[in-house]
Amino acid sequence: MEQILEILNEIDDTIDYENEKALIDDHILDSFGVISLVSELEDAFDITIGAKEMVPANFNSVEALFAMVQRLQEN
Amino acid sequence: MGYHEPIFLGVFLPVVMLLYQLCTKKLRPWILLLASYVFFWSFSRYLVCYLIGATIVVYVGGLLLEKAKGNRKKWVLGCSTGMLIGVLGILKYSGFVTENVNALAGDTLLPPIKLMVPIGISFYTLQGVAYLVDVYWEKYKPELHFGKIALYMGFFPHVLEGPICLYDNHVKELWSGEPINGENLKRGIMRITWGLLKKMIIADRLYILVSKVYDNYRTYSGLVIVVAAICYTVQLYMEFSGCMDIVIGTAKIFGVTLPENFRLPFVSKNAGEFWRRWHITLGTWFKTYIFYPVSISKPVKKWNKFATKKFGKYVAKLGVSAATLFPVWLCNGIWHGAQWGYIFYGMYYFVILLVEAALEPIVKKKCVGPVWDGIRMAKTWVIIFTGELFFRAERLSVGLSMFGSIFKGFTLQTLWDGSLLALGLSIPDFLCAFAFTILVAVMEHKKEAGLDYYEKLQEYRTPVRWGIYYAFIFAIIIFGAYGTGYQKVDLIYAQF
Amino acid sequence: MNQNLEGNLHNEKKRGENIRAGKSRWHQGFRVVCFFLGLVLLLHGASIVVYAMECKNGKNCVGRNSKVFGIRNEKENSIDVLVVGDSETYTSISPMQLYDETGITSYISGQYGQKIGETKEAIRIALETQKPKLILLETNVLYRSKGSADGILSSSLEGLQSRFPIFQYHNAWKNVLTGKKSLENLKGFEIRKWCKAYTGGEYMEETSLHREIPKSIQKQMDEIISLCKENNVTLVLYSAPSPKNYDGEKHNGIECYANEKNLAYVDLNLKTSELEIDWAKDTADHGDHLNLSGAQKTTRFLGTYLKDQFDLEDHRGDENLKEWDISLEEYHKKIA
Repeated sequence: MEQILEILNEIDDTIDYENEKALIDDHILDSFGVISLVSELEDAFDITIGAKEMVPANFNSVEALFAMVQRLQEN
Repeated sequence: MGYHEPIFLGVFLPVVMLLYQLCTKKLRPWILLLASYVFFWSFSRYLVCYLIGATIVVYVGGLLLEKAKGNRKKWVLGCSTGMLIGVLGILKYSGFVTENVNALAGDTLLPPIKLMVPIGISFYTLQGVAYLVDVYWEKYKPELHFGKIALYMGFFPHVLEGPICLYDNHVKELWSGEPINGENLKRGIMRITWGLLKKMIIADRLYILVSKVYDNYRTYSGLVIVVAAICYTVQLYMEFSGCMDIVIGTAKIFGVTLPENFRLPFVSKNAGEFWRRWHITLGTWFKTYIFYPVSISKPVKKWNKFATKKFGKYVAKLGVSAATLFPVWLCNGIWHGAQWGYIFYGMYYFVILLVEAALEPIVKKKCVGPVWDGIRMAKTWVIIFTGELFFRAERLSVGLSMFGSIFKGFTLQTLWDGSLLALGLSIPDFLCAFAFTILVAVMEHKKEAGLDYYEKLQEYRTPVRWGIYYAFIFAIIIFGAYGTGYQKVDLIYAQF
Repeated sequence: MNQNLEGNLHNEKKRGENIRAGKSRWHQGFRVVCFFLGLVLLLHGASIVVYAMECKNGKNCVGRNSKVFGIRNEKENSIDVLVVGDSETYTSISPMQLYDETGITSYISGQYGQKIGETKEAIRIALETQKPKLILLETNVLYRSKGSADGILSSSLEGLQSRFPIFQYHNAWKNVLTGKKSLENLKGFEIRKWCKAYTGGEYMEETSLHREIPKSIQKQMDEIISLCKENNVTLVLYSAPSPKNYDGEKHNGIECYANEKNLAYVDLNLKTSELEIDWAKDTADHGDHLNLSGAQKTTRFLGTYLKDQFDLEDHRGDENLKEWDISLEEYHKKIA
């Protein structure tokens, strides 16, 4: 969780990630932010995020991101 | 039988509603399917075979995807989507390709082709591809029920010009067979009326001016062209979003909630935002099925890492933007039609979005506050109007020549010396279009801000409520640009 | 949590409403009937107002219906030839020139995009104040319809229109806003001096095919024919020269119909060389309508034709029709 927050803050530190629940739906995180986020997450957690994970539900909040990372790590 | 025509609203829809209501719950979705094929038939006759063929490909493709493993799965996906897109490509683009090959060769190498294109093919093809890819990604299980796929592909409210729907959000309501209830009926009719108002009063009126200028583009220059481009943008919005209102309202009557396609596009502060608010379902489709897959593909990821280390974040981001935006906007342009003008239109937005990405760091820091917001909005309007100027032009050369002639003989006098009154619209026409455009802007802003007009109306007593209903009906009857003396205007987006 | 609770409460309320609604189905139905009754009443009321505005006072008429109602401003029983049809009428015949050259008094009750039902209405309105000897019907109205299903629909829509004139005359609000008066009196003619050439070449190729006039239109034509018979008017069909609107198939279709109904028919499209129509000079919009010089040629030809074929009075020098001479002077200035 902490690690994800760190990565997010590196991408754009003007956002209050802990309280945002609609990062994508409200266009707080733009598409390019998402792309950088994906590659950072892949490196940090040693996972591969496939095209099918690219849905707003997976990126809308820190919790959702965390859940996705955990799920991918298990596989 | 367009959605705005009396035969659809006055005959077809009531008959379908009646049959739907009289049938048993189980039969009702089949009534909708039958109605959809009748609707399709009314435009394209036997070309309905293409729709049924595409439905079979989607249905079988989905089932095979479930069974296949590993590389075979990829192969199945490639084949099924290839078939869908191939048919679209051959029907829509073979004429364009042969034309250009012949022009290049300076000779008729290939025989000229003109194929009959079924309506809505651009829309249902995208829906079919979305379903197949989603099944491939294992977002959901493939559908075993053929009827459900068929209705998803051909549901008559959205088959002609969208909105482009996604299967998992859509199918449950579509196949529910719930009876029509009072609230949905009223909501639907209200939405349809609103759409008619936008199309009949504003769009069909501005059509006169727009087509006059575009049909005789050589005779006009300067501000007249600018006015025509602005009028066309307004016409296109009122027409397309108005049609979406009718479509969404129609589906609502049967208890189906279709996705919204417009969200106040004219408050956008940049072109990127505009495309998140204009033709939303198309943008979402491109984003999900082209933009993201490309952006997390291996080469792009590699570049991102490499460039971030070597040149810093900024350059890396620009590179990624270029690599991902290019395919999206090329496809967007081509999707609209096989013409250089549309490809130019796509590339126009590609360049603008790239420039926006390049300027973003500065804009984000410096250009804040309400004054800057206003300036950015005005700038976006200029971008939109210019884009639509080319979008409407019959050929790219026409668009370029019109754009060039803006700067010839540009005087502000044009606004008051009467040249605008020689374009087929009188002062009352302009006033009427303007007043209703303001009304639409205000009412849609309030709606976006969370006002539910249906609920709001329930608060009033019957006489007031009915008064409001009557007022809207009479506004359309009196101020609508219909009847003899006005040309019947076909739906713009149905041609794509 | 709170939201959930509210949602539940809301649902409860709704359920309550639904139960009540279920009990009073009849009440609901009654309300719907009332709503539509109210709508019909309002439509009727608005129709009366609009109709009064648009027609009772022909002088205030501008726009599409101005010619049809404008005939009410003409002196009673002064018009011998009435022309009806769509925009092909007032771009092909100039009544002032016809009067100048033959002394025949004519008037054009044309409207752009006139439909056969409106043609009938135009004749009816003209007959209120005039006793024409001859009616010239421009044949383009005979094909203004698409398919049979559409024909049924459009004729039922027309029925609705005649029941509620508000649909037909809904543009009356524009006149109120501008307060404009009718333009100069050219008896319906419109002067178009500009030219946009037609370059498509020959368009009346001979063919054995003939395009039948749609059934729904034939039905309306029957009514027009009997209306003319009742009033002792000779009905003559004519086709104005227009490459865009005519071809061999239509010619055959109309000719066939005219023979069947025993009507005279002149197709000017077959006589363009006799008329000396030059498509490089005589059309205003690439062969859809004639311009002034085209109309002058057609009028000259039709004048001779009418004089030869029908017994029409020469009104030149008629003490009762002095206004015509004044208008004629105006007309000459206008076209110069």
